[in-house]
Amino acid sequence: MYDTNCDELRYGIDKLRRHVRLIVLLNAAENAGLTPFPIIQLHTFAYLSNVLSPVWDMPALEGKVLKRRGSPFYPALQHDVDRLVGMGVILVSNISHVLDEDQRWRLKCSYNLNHPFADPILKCIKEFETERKALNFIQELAYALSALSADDLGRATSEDATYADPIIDFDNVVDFAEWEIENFSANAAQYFGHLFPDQMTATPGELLHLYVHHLHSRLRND
Amino acid sequence: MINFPVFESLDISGYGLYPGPSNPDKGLKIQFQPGLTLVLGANGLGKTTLVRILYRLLTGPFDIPRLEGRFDLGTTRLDAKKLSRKYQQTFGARVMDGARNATAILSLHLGNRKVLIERRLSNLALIRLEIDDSPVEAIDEITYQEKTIELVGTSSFGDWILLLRFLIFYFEDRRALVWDPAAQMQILRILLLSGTKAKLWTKDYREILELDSQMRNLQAVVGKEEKDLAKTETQVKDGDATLKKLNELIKLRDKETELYERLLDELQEVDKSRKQARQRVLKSEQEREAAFRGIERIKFASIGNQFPSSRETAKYIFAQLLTDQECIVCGNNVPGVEAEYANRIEKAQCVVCGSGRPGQESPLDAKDGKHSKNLQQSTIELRQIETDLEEARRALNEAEANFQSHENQINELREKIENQSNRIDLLIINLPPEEAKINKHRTRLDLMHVRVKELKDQLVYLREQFRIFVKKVNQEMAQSKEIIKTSFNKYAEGFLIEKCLLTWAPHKATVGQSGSSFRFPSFNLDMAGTDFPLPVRRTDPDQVSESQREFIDLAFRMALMSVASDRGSSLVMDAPESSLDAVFAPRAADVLTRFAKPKGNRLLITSNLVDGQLIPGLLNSIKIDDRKARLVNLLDIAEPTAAVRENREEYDKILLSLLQST
Repeated sequence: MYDTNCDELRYGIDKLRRHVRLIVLLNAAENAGLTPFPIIQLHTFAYLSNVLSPVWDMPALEGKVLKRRGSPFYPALQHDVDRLVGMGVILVSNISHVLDEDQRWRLKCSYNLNHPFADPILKCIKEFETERKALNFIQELAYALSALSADDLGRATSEDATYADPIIDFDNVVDFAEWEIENFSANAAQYFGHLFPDQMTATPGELLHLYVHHLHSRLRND
Repeated sequence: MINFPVFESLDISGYGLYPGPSNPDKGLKIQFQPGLTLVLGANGLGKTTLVRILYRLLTGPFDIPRLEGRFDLGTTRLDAKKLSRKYQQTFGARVMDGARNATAILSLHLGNRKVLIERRLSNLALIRLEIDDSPVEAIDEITYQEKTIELVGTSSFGDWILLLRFLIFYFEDRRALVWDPAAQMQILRILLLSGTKAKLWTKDYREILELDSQMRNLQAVVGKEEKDLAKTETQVKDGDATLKKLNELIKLRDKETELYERLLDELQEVDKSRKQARQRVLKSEQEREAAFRGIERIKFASIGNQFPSSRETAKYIFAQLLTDQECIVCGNNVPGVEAEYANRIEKAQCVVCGSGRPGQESPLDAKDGKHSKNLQQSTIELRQIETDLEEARRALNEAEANFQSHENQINELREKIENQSNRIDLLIINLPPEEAKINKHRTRLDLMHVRVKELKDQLVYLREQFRIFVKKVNQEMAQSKEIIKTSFNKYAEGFLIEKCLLTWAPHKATVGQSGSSFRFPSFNLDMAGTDFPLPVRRTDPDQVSESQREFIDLAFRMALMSVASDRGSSLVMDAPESSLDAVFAPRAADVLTRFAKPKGNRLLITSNLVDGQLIPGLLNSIKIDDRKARLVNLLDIAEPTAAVRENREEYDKILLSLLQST
């Protein structure tokens, strides 16, 4: 809980990082023509930005998630989204409540950035090298994901090598970067690099596109 | 597909413990019909012996050593070994004549093949083996074992014994499979992998175990040689300060190595608790989110009426405030404001300025009379979940701190031991030139160091190969997880009142006592309880009651058997009533009856003639006329004990009332 007069420095640094990540995710989604961005797709995008971060040689912001019957959902991230709505940085639309795969209530809505408030934050983010790197990675991932329909994006993790690992059952923890180091999704993406002819090296961006293309093919073959 | 044994008949003759009712029915004879066979008796009449005879007819004079105790199956070789003479003569030791003329014949089906086994009870020797009514010539135990694994479909006789121990026979000293990941790993390997893969697994696993033990033994010898060397050198150069220092250092290093190894062992347990705590937090967070959104939904609908034309963001902010007492604009917790706004909504006032809005009913009342009640109930539930979440977070912090402290200690010790080893090496090098004896000792030690290194390298290679193999077969085995879970639910639901779910959670374990860990297939159990509104992981049998423990494990065994074979099976339970209270006994009877129904399964239960609901519950599923045929009455068959002779009438009365009860 924050007090009314607190400024950014007094947030926990982790919380600030998550807020920044959300703004970057929504901005990237908007640039890729994906907004208004439905809530489930936002959480899926957040998960993919975590699990595929090694491709861009970056650490995952969150290295674990509870495996649900549907796609990944981060309660802490959702709380951050709510806060950013309250601050006026994010706009919410089409709100309703629906029952999920486990017959539990979940929020259904879509999000947009509120640019008068979000733009100064984005401008500031771009001034820092690491944040700029994260922004570029997420933007590239958003472009890659824009090849999927909204429906396919919502169920993309059902084919993701890490989240869909049959060894991990529902209600168990998918851990790829917290206490474990095995990340099948990033490994699979990196593997596509070996398929290039000897004299060619795939860029991280190309690897992301190839991995998303692979997800797309698997979803189509369902 | 595994062929479990389906018992057809048992004939024990010439055994003093079971003289039989009268001529011509001498001895003990059982015709197993599909479904229940009930062996009733009193203490000392040979119920457990009967179960043991059945077991030994199938294993012969072989067993896996130390399987009866709590020994960790992960670190032991699972080969069938010949029993000692004393154990071969167990049945003989129970009677005066040493069971000289006693024999037992078991007829059974393994898949669609008919098998007959006859053994001497004095020493378990095989007298006769028939397959599909044809005698097998020149039989010995090796032939018997080869034929058995061929008919059952396991890759070794040791695997057959594991199936008997962990699935078919429910002995009094049983191990609970559901809480024994090492045993589960073995059973899932046998049931879910093809014979070739199951065999390859065992071969590689055993090879690593042997090499690991060889390496550790050699390392111990090296340690001893180092000590001896230091001692010899001390003798040669008594009083030399360097040697004194060397001895002290070796002693210290040994002590710290011991502590280091103990902490390493503990770390696995601590890590398990830490992961369990993390899973609980993440699950509680999801539950909290769902409960919160459920309330938000009701409140959002209410506020919607107050903002007929306003933007959704404003409604969203107010709904959050009313649900969670948190202002998402500034982040403050404001219960007073929440109460005020709720009051305004109730009075049909404007939620922002409090002005009256004539003609408007309170949305909470108007929309649905049940809303307020639902809201109250949902809010109580949300607060309960939040309390649980807080507790889960506290437990996670504690578990993480514990893990961290262990890891820090281990790292510190590792560094210390390395430093000490370096100093020891340096001291040994700097010792004054010695006699030929010491030089020879050193050369020998050097050679040993080289050999230890070679073994270590070989182990690293073998472990890597095995890791790749296990990863592949894990995926293969995971494909059966849903069907096993469904089958488990079918059995567990009938017995348990609490929500209980089986979950696929491969466990980490090392092969041998060194090296990094592997992920082996296993299931865990999530169960709700008095103090846990949500299902919580129960990694230890002590985390559930005794009745629950027994029957959760039974449901698990039944699920595995029904998934691994569609040709039926037998289940033998020795004295299941001991752990059941009055509430659980009829439920247990129901679950057991359900197992006994399909596929011609055989269920053999032994029990004392006791008051209680289990036996009547089981008998209720059988027509009164059919009950006698299903009953093996040891009061008539077995040699009576003094207690039985004295109280025979009373026992008969109880038996009669059981047979006639409905």
